[in-house]
Amino acid sequence: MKDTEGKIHPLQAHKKMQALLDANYRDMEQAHATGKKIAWVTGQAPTDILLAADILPAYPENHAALCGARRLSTVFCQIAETHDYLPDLCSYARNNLGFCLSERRDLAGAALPPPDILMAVSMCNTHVKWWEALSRHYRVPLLLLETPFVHDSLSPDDIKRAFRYAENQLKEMVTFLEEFCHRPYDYDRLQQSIANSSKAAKLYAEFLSMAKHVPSPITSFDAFLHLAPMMNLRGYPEAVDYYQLLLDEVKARVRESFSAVGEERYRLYWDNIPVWSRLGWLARKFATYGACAVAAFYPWLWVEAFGRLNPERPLESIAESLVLYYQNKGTASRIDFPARLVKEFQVDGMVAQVSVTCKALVPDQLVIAKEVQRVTGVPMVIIEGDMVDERLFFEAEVERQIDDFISVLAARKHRLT
Amino acid sequence: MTGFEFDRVASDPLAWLRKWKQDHDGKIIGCLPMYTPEELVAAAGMLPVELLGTTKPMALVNAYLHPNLCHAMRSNFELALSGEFDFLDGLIFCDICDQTKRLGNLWEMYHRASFSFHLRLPKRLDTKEAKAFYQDELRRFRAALERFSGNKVSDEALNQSIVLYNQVRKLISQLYDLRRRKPYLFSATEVDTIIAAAMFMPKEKFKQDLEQYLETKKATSAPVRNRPRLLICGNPCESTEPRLLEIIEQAGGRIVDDYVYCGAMYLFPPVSEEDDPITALVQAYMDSHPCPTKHNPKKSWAKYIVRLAKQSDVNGVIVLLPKYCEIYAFDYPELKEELGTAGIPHLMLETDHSGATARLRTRVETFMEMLQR
Repeated sequence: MKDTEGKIHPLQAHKKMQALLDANYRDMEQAHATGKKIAWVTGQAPTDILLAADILPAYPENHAALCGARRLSTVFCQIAETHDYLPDLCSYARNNLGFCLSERRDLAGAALPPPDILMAVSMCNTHVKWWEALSRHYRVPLLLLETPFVHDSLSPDDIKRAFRYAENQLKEMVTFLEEFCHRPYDYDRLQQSIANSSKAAKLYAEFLSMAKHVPSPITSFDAFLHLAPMMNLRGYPEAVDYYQLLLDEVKARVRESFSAVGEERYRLYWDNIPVWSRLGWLARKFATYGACAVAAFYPWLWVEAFGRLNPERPLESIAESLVLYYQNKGTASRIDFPARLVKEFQVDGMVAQVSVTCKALVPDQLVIAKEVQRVTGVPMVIIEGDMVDERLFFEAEVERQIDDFISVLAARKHRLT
Repeated sequence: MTGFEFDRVASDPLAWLRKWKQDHDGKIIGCLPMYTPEELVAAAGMLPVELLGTTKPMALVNAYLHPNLCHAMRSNFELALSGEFDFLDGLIFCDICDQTKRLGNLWEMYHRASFSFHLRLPKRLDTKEAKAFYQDELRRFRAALERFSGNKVSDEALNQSIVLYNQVRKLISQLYDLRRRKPYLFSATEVDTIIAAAMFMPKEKFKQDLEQYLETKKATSAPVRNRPRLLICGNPCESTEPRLLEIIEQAGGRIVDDYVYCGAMYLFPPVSEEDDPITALVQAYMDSHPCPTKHNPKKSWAKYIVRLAKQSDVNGVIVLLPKYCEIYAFDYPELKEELGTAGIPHLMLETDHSGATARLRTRVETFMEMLQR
């Protein structure tokens, strides 16, 4: 059955992205020399608020993913463990704390200069604890946005109270930043930044939707890789321009009916966070079978968080977007979205990857996967892995599970045709 | 063994509650630890009880939950799925962490109770905005309790409830004072048994029993043996394994104080009897002792433990971290550092209620030997 070579086809835009990210990391390196302040922020932090105060955001999670891709994470995780962070803790956090606690800057792969201030959102409780640890380590203030959880049984009024609470905290942050930066807050710049973030998110969404085409011009692994500008460049015009460029390239692929995996035989849904240290291996493994991961909810999280921002209602729309964020919602209402992706992207099979050290997404992951399978009738395989701790990825086992799963899909296809 | 009703309650709380329900025909509300303002539930004429999970082997839960989730979450859901909690009339789910939030969601999807309420406890204790949010949240809670119970929760009823709970708090403080002064009067599991009973018994009855118990206890005497004085801390959301407490005693240690959930963390601090009752409950929550599940840059759990250890004049601290409880584990490095700086020896144990005690025993015995050297 293995008649393709497992060849993957990187997008041309990738080079441009790399150049932009390199420039961004250079800006960070030079920030302190040029009198700019740096904030370490969580993936979905409302960074537009910082950009308007001329503070440069840096992303320890993206840095961890980068370390993972360069296969440096396990070393950093081990360093964190020698400082009494238990091995069960989130591997992004261990990667970053290990990086902070070690002197081995030669390993880092990219600069992450020490923060002057920190910003986190409570929707992932790990972030809160991890950022508290950073605040102790660097002795810098932490701006925490608490987004009360949106349980399924809450009334619209109950949810509005959560919006108000979030918005009031954002106002407090703005007041704090005026004092912290010794200058009046620039609301015009906030609006510009929000407009850029929301435009970039919408273009990224359009890029993700290109995978609805049969055959798909991109894989979810492309989607994961091209997530980086949604973090590091969010709020800047460069991100908008970049996603336009990326989208144009993919549209050209569609016009040529280009398939990202050679002959496309199976369309897969990838559940949960990417295994950053084995992204290439997984992409090639799937491509070997002509299996294309066409959808995943993970990249859409950034579309959810920033696509609905409205420059006319800056703080309100940030509060609403982050309270109603997918990960912050009750389990029952988290089933529709992946189910819709499975249907709209014409998925043949689901691969649910349990990131064993993620306490934010794992608690209801198996239940959601089970329910999505029930609603859509699409078969599923569960594999175990981790974001960046390579010790938790058992290649032989995962390979066997993928092989077996593809046989199931093949038999199913045969039966259906 | 306390020789009081506490023993029967703590040894099989669910059986005790079923019997209570038969005899009293009252509504019982299960509260998922931690931090339910029980005063409100009691003021609505219902019996609030804490859901402490089970140490029994688990099977059903594996169809829904990955094994890397905490024992408190898994074992409570196991009991729900097996129908063991069916006698409960309602459930309160407190937003404590990502795991507990999800547990409430799954419970409602797969084993719905006739009444359930998600209490959005704020994580931030460092802003007046959180206080305002929680104030609204408690009003919502009060209204929901009124609707379900059919009883109006008047300010007067709530004040009475607060007074009763404060009386219980006062007695528990006396119990803790006595243990600090005369720890040799207590067996390893005695205080644990009493606090566990407090989590299930109606507080009026509990108060009467504890008064009597304290009277009796104060009059007893026992040989004063010189043993290492210990503080145990950690172990949120669930009971402390009795077997572990026994191992500590057998190894020669004496627990003189604690800061565990099934201990000093339950019910504290006291609630003001002067303010508007809802405001008082909110303020007590905002002022509560440090807990890693809350965010407050002005308060440090680690520093609080060190202070407690010094106040109680202990020789060592045993830190209990439930396996897969990320929130507590994240604060352990700071605690280790603070204890080290203060020169207080400690032993960290990961607990999983698996009943596998051989390794724990070896580590506890080694720690005791070190302290006695």
